[in-house]
Parts: sequence; structure tokens; C-alpha cells
Amino acid sequence: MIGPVRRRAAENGETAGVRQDSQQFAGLVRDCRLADIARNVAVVRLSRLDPDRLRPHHHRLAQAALEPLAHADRARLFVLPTRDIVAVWRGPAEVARSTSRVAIEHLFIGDDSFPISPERLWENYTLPNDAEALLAIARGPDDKPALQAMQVKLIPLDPTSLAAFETQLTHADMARFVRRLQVGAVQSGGGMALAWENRRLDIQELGACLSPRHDLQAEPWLFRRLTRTLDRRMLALLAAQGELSDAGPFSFHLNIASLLGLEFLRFDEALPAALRGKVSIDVMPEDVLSDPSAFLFARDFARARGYRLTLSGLAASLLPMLPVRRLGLDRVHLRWSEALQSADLTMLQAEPGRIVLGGVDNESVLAWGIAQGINLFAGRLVSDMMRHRGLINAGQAVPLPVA
Amino acid sequence: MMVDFASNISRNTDNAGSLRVVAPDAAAEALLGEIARLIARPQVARDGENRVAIVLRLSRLTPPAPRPHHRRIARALMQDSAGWHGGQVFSLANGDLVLLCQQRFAGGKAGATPRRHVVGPEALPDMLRQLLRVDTPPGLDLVSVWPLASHGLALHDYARARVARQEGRLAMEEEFAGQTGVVDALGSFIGSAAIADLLQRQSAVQLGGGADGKGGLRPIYHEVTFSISGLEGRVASAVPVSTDPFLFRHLAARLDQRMLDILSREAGQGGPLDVTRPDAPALHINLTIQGILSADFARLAAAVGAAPRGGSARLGVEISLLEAVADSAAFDRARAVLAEGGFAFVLDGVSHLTLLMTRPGLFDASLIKLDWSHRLAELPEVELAVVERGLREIGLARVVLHRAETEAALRWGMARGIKRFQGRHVDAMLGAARIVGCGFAAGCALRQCIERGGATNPIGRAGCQNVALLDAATPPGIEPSAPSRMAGAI
Repeated sequence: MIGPVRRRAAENGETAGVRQDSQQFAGLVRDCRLADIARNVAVVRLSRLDPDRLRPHHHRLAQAALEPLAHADRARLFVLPTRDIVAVWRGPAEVARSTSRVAIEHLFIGDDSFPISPERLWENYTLPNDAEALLAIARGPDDKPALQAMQVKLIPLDPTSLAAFETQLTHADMARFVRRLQVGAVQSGGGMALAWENRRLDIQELGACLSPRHDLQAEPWLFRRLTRTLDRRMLALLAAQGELSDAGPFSFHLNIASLLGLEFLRFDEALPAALRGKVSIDVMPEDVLSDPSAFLFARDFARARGYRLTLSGLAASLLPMLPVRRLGLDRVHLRWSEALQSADLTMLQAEPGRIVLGGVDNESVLAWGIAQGINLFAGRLVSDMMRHRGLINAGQAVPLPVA
Repeated sequence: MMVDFASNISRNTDNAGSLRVVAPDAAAEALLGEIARLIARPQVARDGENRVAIVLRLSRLTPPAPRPHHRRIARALMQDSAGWHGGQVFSLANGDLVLLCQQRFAGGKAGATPRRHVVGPEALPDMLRQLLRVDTPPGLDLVSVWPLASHGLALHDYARARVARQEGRLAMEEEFAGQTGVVDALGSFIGSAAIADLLQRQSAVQLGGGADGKGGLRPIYHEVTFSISGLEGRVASAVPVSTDPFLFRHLAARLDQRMLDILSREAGQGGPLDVTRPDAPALHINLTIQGILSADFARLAAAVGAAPRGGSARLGVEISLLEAVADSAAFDRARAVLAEGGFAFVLDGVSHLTLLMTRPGLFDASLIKLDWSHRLAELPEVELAVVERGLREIGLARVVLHRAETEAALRWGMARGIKRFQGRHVDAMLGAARIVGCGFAAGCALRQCIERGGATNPIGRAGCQNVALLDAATPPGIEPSAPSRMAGAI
């Protein structure tokens, strides 16, 4: 089980959330090397175990075994495509390291299915000294087939497994899958301040924990259907007593059907008066167009209740076809991509204040957005700017890393 | 007489209160008792505690409304008002809702309404009208206010005629129940059973497509689809699968495989499903993006190329607007596949509401199918102007008025310069034209000819002595003014 510290950390989306992205791990290693930052690293080499005998519960148990390390200072966990699990933390944490290592050994050592010695399953490193070795681990084997063989093969959802998963969700603790991403607003006097937080469910981790055999997003229409169930759980979570008592402005995704459901009415009832008018709801274009009549009803109802609506998940190439103003929405969230640079930006330039640029992971993307007149940004760079300065709720602007 | 006091009502969303959704409605029987009690009170007509009833006639919404969300939200809004103003909400048998409350709140006296409350009775009629306008027939006011002092007896009579027990809780679950099971059963059935007999087709025509360029109907394509109701019947489904658009799209991908398989086998065979026939209109099929990018579609393209008259496929692929916006990258790839194979791309699923909100003309489709709705003929001037501007943007030559089931649809389209139509009324017009021009039609009824024209297999065409005419690209002409003469024939 993931403990309370880990859960809070996971909600912040940064300090100890399991990362399945080896690029993020590699980025951290490179950052430590460049800035000469000291970190301790433990790698659990599940990639050295026979993949045919490794089962999803082994992954879950191995991650749980690292729970003591998740409490260490600046702890972060990564699950690599090779199935290796990496823990990174700052400072001494010998007791936690020892506890975690013993737990891992108990899982696999002595099991005839996994003939492996302890020293081949657990490796200790330090940064920045071992940066090259860790980057090699992040890259995995050069041989693509070998890498694929190491990866757990997921199967798509079908209607039966979807129904079973939806039932399973009704009993699951969803709070541990909630992530908060910061949206920053460029200030007229310079700098960036927190505009609101986006609350979302980490689908990758949700799937890995609750339905590890399935790829939840492989069948896109079944996934869209699943999002309605997830909406209901999210709404129930937000409506729980005390959940929003000290919350600032936030946004979250909903399907139109969910916006018109009983759970939304309960959430609306529970919304603190101070947050009224400060909550934004993200809707997807295919959902809007799947039932235009219901969308128009929901849009006007949400407006009347003081919510803002953002069109999310829209490709830049579709901007001319789905004009935000004509849809009667407040904003559009565009995710950065190379294609965005070559897209017809007429709409962007006409209404830059209605654009939220997502995927802002580096300074050049931020600079591009600012040059387009956009002033709302989200992405790894923005979150890092807010968190590292400790200004998430302080209402202060942080200096921009670009001119 | 009913009183409308909606004028000069304002809302203040900044001070929005919370909707109360827990308190249940009172039963309609209680409404009768409450009305009787209030009417009987002598001070009702004199003091400031006069009561009014805000009546919301959801039963008058245009079907398929009132849908569960109409009832759920409207009731929550009224319940909210009731909670704050000592009122009560009552549900009637036909779905109408009644809020009894004090008139001093409804009348909008300064300072009478608690500040934090927004959805007070003074704002409620305007808000409900705004929310329900899309589904409200023109010229009809769904919200009315009945002062009990003057209209108590009329309200009593109105309610007595619509007494009902309290509605059960409108849980969201009821909209979900059983749907994944149905889709699962249908998916398995589609994958394993013989379903070619469930294929049906419908023709689209161009008016004024006669040889002289003036009168007459010219079939421009036959759209081939699986009968969804037929499929549901085969698995004894109690829940229409199209209720959930996302599950339906998932199922559509399964249907693609069978459709593509059948068309691949029929290519070059000279039958009604042969996409290479030069003597018949093009065939149109509905495919998902996934279907177009599949190996099954590549096999169809190969089969077309290998057919005796290969390379001249007369196939249009209809993609729903929903699919086009869901994954634009995949959509772009699919469109490129169609262009490469020489297949036409048709944008489907455009309603007058999507025309108000989007610009489908920019999708670069050969044809765009606008779904007819009787609401098109009833649109307010401002919205009609937007629709007409959208049609001009698309270009009338690219517009097909789809689901043209009535003469009114044709007349609406023709009045705006649309020349391409598809729907049951067009089926009837084509059937009538065939009967008039067919030398073997002496024993045929119009309905029989329409049904045979919609069939794609010999069993459905049984009895027809002139099947070539069913598929012909140029059946005998018929004047566009003919619909009214056939109205009673179908």
C-alpha cells in the first residue's frame, strides 16, 4: 500500500510519484551531473528476472517494497520500460534503504522461479559520480527486440473487461491517483504567477495498479466511456468533506454527461463559496460533438453556476473548424507540438487570452508562446518553476527564465 | 390566464449558492392538498405572503427531450429555490414540475432575496428558458407563473389532471445499465455470425439531375449500412446501443471489418455491392478512422484494383464529424489513404447545432451531410442566418440534406438552393419513378418497390422482375414537385 506521505507526494505529482518515463529519470540524472547535485540511487533490476515468470503482482509488490525510501528527502521513484524500478533520494536513509532491500530480497530470493543472487537484483549508485552508468540503465538495451521482450505486454480493454474495471473502480481509493499540475500566468509586469491547478487522474498509474494486464487507452472509444466512470469518482472525491476546504482555483476534466449528472450536483453543493467562479472544467471536442444538444444545455448550466469551460485535447489543425468563441467556451488548451508552429495561428493571434499552452517543458516553448501573445502556460517547466520557488499558494510571481 | 413575470429579471452568478439535490420532490397528490389549503386561506389574497406556482412544462419539450438531464437539472434548480424560500417542488405524471413559493421572492422585491442565493424564483424562469431553449418548440413558453390568489383553481385543475406518484431518484446508473453487456454481445455476434443479410442501402439523389439539366432525380450514390435495429434484434437487446455514443463508435469499428470483408468479396461480381460497377451510382459506406487505416481496408483497395474494371472504384467513405475531431492525426492519415486510393471522403453527422458551433466546410470533404431536423424550419432568424451562412461557406454543391424523411425537408432544402437529398421521402420518390417507368410494375405496390430498392440481397429483392432498374444510375425522371402527390402513398 502507498502510505500517506507517498500519497501526498503523489498528489503533488513530483516528489515520490512513480514515473514510467525513463526520459524523466535520464533528465534528472543529467541535471544532477550538470549542477553537481548529490543524490543516492537504488535500482531494483527486475529486468534480470525471467519475464515469462514475472507477474503484475510482482511489480506491485516490488514498488510497495520501496515505500520506506519514498519517505526519504526529495525521494522520487521511476518505473523504467525495462521493468527496472529506480529510487532516487537526497541524503542518508540507511534504515529505509536496508528495509527496502530486505523486502525486495524476500520477494524473489529463494524462489525457484527466480534463480538470482541478491547482488544482481539490487544496485546502489550515487550521483553525480555514477551518471553514465545510470543513463545507460535509463536507455535500456540497444537491442529493440530485447527491450520489447522485457516489457510487459498489455492487452486492450474490451467491453467485458471495461465493465469489470468500472465495478472495481467503485471500491478503489482514487485519491492516490490524483495529480496536480500548475498553470502559470505571465504577469504584465513580468514574471509568472500561479493561475490555477489542474487536478487529474494519473491514468498510467491507475491502470498499472488496478488493471495491470490492460492498456486502458488502447481502445480509444472504450477509454472515453471509461472516463465517464472516472469523472464520477473524481467528483465524489472532490465533494468529500474537507477536500476543498483550503483549495485554490483549480480545473479538472469532465464529460458532458458527467456535468449533467447527479455527482456533479453533489460536487456543486459541496463547493465552498470562496471557490465559486474559480473552477474551470475541461471538455473534449469529441465529447462536445457527440451530443450537441446536451453540450449546449451543460454549457449554459455550468456558466450559470459560475464555472469556466475550456476546450481541451484539441489539435491545432482543428482550431479553424472549432472556433472557441463560436462554441461559447472560455478557453482552449493546446498542447505544444512541432505541428503547432506550422499550424494556422490566426485564431491564436486573435484571441491569445483564451489560450492555455500545455506541454511547456522547456524554455524555448515558453518563449514561443509568449511571442504569440499567450500568457497561460502549463507543463513540466511551469510546475518546476512554481514548486522550486515554493510559491504555489503564495500568489507571488517567479521570474521568467526567458526574456 | 398565466402570468409571465420574466421581464427585468437579472442573475448574479458571482453569488451563486449551492444546489440542493438531496431533498426529494413532494408527490403530486400533496400538491393538490397544498393548493387547496392555500386557496382556502383568507389572507392569501391580501397579505404579502401570496404564493405563486412556477410551472415548468418539460412534457412540451421536443422529443427525445425531456431527457434525464433535463429533469435532473431542472429539478435541482427548482429544489434549490424551494430550499431557500420555504417552497416545495412537485413532480407531475407527465414530467412537468411545479414550484410553490412565496410571491415576494418571485416578484423580485429589493432585499427580499438572500444575497448568496442566485437561483431564486426571480431568476428561475429566465434561467430555465435559457437552458431549455434548444429543445423548446418555437413560440412555446415552457415556464409560467401562476399566482394562487387569482389562478389557484386553474392550477388545481391542471395538477389534478396530471397527478402522479413521486418520481424515483434519477440516478446516472440508469443511463449506463446494461450497455457494456449489450455491446459485448453485439461485438461477439458481429464477429462470428452471418450478418450480410442485415445490410441495407439508401439512395441519395440530385434534384434537377435530369438529362436536360432541369427536372428529374438522379441517384448520386447508394449508402450501404448494417441495420442496427436488426442487429439488436438478433441478440435480443433491450437497450438501444446507440444510447452511448462512445460504445457505439467502438462497435462501429467491429462492423467495419465485416463491411470491408463483404465489399472485398463482392468487388467485380456485378452485384448491388460491387464498388466497380460503372452502370450504378457510387457506393457509400460508413467507416471509422481505425477501419480506414486497417488491413481490411487495404484488402478492399487491392480487391478493387484487381477487379475486371479495377482502378475505377466508385466508393465514398463517410466519416463522422465525431471521429474527425477525436484524433486529428489519425484522421489526416485516413484522409490521405482515401485520396491515394481514389475514394471520396464524405463528412457525416453534421446537425444544425454543429453547424451553429463549428465550421465543417473546412474539413475538405467532397460532400457534407447535414441531418434534417424539423427544428431547422423553426429556427429563430438569428440562428437561421448562421446556418445559411454555414451552408454558403460549405458550398451548396457539397451539401446533402440527410434524413430527409418528409416533404417539408425537401422544401426547406430547395428553398435554400440545396439540390442533394437522402432520406425516406427520397426513397419514395425514387420508388414512384421506378414504378412509373418500369414495364414490369403492374403488380407492384409502391412500398414493395421502396423495400426492394433498399435491399442488397436476392431475398430482399424477391418479386422484382426488373432488378437492373433498382440499381440504375439514371432511373426515369420525376419532377421535384411530385412529393405532395405521393404523400398518401407511403
